[in-house]
Amino acid sequence: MPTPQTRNSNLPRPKRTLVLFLVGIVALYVLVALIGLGTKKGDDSVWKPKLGLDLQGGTSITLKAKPAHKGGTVTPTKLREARNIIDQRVNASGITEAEVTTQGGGQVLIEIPGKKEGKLVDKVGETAQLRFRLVWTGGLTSSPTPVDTSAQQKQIDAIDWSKLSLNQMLKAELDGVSTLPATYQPGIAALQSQAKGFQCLKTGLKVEDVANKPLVTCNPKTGEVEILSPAVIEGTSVKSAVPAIPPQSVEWIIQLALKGHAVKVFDTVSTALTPTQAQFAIVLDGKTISALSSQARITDGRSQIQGGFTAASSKALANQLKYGALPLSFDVNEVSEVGPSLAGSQLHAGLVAGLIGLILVVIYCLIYYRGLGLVIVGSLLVASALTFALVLLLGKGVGFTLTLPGIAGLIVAIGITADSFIVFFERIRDEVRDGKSLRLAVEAGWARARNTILAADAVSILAALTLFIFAIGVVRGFAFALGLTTLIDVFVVFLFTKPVVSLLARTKFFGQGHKLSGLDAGHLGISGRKVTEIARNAGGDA
Amino acid sequence: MGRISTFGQHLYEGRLSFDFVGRRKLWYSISLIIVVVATFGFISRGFNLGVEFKGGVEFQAQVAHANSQTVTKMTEAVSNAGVPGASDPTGQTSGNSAIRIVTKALTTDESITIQKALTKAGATDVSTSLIGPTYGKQVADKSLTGLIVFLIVVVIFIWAYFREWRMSVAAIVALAHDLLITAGVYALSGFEVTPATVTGLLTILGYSLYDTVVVFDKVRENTKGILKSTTRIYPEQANLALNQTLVRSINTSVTALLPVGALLIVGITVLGTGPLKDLALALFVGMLAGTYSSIFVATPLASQLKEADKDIKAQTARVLARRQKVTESPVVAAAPTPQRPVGPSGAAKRAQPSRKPRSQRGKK
Repeated sequence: MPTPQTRNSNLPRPKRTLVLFLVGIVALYVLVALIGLGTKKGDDSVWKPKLGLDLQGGTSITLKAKPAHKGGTVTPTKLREARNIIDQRVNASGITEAEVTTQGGGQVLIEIPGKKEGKLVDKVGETAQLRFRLVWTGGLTSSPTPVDTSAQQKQIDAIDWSKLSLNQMLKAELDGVSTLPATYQPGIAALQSQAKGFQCLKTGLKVEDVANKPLVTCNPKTGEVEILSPAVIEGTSVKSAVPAIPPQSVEWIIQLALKGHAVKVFDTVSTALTPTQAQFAIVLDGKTISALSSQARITDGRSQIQGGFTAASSKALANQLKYGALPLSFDVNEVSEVGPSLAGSQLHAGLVAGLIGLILVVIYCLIYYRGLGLVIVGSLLVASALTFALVLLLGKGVGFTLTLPGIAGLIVAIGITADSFIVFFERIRDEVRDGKSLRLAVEAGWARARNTILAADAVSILAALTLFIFAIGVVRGFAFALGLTTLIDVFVVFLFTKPVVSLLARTKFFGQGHKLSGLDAGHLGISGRKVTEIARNAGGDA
Repeated sequence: MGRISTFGQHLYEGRLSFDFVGRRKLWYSISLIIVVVATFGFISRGFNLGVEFKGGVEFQAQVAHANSQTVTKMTEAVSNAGVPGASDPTGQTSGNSAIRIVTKALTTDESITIQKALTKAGATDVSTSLIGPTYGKQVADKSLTGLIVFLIVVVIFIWAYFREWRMSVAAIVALAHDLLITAGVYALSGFEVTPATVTGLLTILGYSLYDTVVVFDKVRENTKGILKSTTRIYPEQANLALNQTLVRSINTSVTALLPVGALLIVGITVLGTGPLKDLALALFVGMLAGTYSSIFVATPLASQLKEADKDIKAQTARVLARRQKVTESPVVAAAPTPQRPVGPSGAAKRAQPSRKPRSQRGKK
């Protein structure tokens, strides 16, 4: 019952398949090289996989978004807004190489390669701090050089400002800060000398914005330094913020609506300030974004922010204002600072483990499968080449970074890849044992092994996919690597291993069962015939 | 190695056969005992949860030589740093050039103080990991969702591929078996459970099923058209499949365990504690259990479930009855031994089909 060799009509020409596949791999590398040409000269980074922070050192901060109060939800839109604001804050703090990305499970990941900046988490982790403050002293000028005012800050911190009433604060603005009770005067003096030494920077302005303390800050756009009162209205009282162009105007503004107790406070403030057109400031993250003079008494909590906005900048600010009001806050999941030596040893360990694993598998296959073992070695090498090319391309294309768990995934996959070959070879042996000649056994064994390999790899890919979708953080790197290599395994075994074995079966060394080929009669355990022959009782009910 | 091949050949032909399916009660009992011990383990002892699950700060201080002396030095440096949350740190060596120190939750300012204290005490480089108290729970929750989704998807997949719900059931039982055993090993040994361990556990899902699918594929092939067969019965064919794939199972396990073993050993010797070790350990235990369960649990169970099927039951009974008859007949045949074998078919008188000479064959 010899099986006709032409049964596999889709794989009749192993040579062509093989050549096409190898050309495909070369094409991938050419693609990498082309991307490399596009980058600056002397920059060979295209040939290096993008390493995760655990392998190159740096800081990674994982924040988990949560609704600030019950009933709120974390939507992807809110999360993206949060990401943008965090990105701005990170950049504002002077760290330019940071990457801020959203992750599954409502997480925001901040990655800063090469630096230990764990302290950043204190600045970026909180909701946007939007506050309304009264301008006690405005129109001051920026100091040309920064002056250390930590002594003054201590004096300011020593006073309990929270006892100040709204009326006292308003009086201080309208009639001068000297109207404040004597207990506050040392603090006021400290604020004034702090304001003198305040340097207004366009970026990287460092101000500690605490709600119940007065604040010295500036508007980075105008460079105007101000002494501000403790916050009178918090950003969480913002009901809505919408960019708009009022009728008969060409300038973008932001329409702001307040809610709750803030409406009443705003009424009081605007009533008091309107007669003298005194100012109040809107402070976002410690910076004055707008100082407004009150034009009229506002009783419904609706206000406008003007400040020479464009369509884009008004929209961005409106989002920030809204975000300050959004019930999104962040829990700190993990702040990890990896030093260069730990990163180096992790990378080293990963590579060494991979190499040892690969060598052990190769040795085992060579001992057990002899000549055929070389096919496994070749297949593993081809799979490695393909994996490396894809890791490079995915690093450039979708920002795939190789992390320690990712390397572990690649190493674990060596076993899964080798198993496909084992399933195939064992099937060939089975077919020979059933009485087929070697050349026929290769085709018949393949037809059967193919389905097994596909089914088994499908399960493996399903597992990787589920892990990737439902996992958090580093686990995703592992799942991605595992899924990628399983996919590569399918390609390699179909387009490389099978054609190679088919071709080898035609050679004298393998086809006639040389002792070292791994396909000799003795090694296969058959007796009484050569592997080139078909057994007399072939097809018997085994 | 020739011996293994002969061994493989004999297994394949059924000349040498291990009775995996028939002696299932024995295998079930062994598995049951292990599972009970494992379950008892994590009920009574629970897991040794890593800092990721409790929240806290982990410092990795690089030193020239990591030994008990430097550990004491570093731990003292931390407890004397004047940070209340770090008054009771635990320290251990991690590889031969790093010391791992774990404290309770700290603020970033406090952790910087500790970093400075460690550097002062002689650490060349300090890596820090501040972990929020809910991180581990998130990982666990997400993993549980992943687990459930994966199980549903796989049950459907196996059912669709094999067209046999019994195989889905058997595969899932084997999976639960592997997970329980791995979890039990963790509970009993007191190995630290970290998010990397959870990853490892989830990977075992894939591997365990992968291995099971390969064996089931052979079972399906061997039992194709079993209902029409007059000589073969399901449990025997399933057992034959197991024996035929035994060499593959061994080879697969070896090739899968070799890299994982390398990962484990390098992870422990070079890095000490860390995700590499946690992952590799879970995989190593799980893969061993996975190979065992494919052979000793999944297939016998699938066979047992299938044997309960009405049609299969009837067919098995028919074949067994027929065999009974055949075994009874040798009593007759034991009488005068003929010179050459005479079949009971009664065909002896019939003319045997004659064969044309080779040269004339294929011509009319």
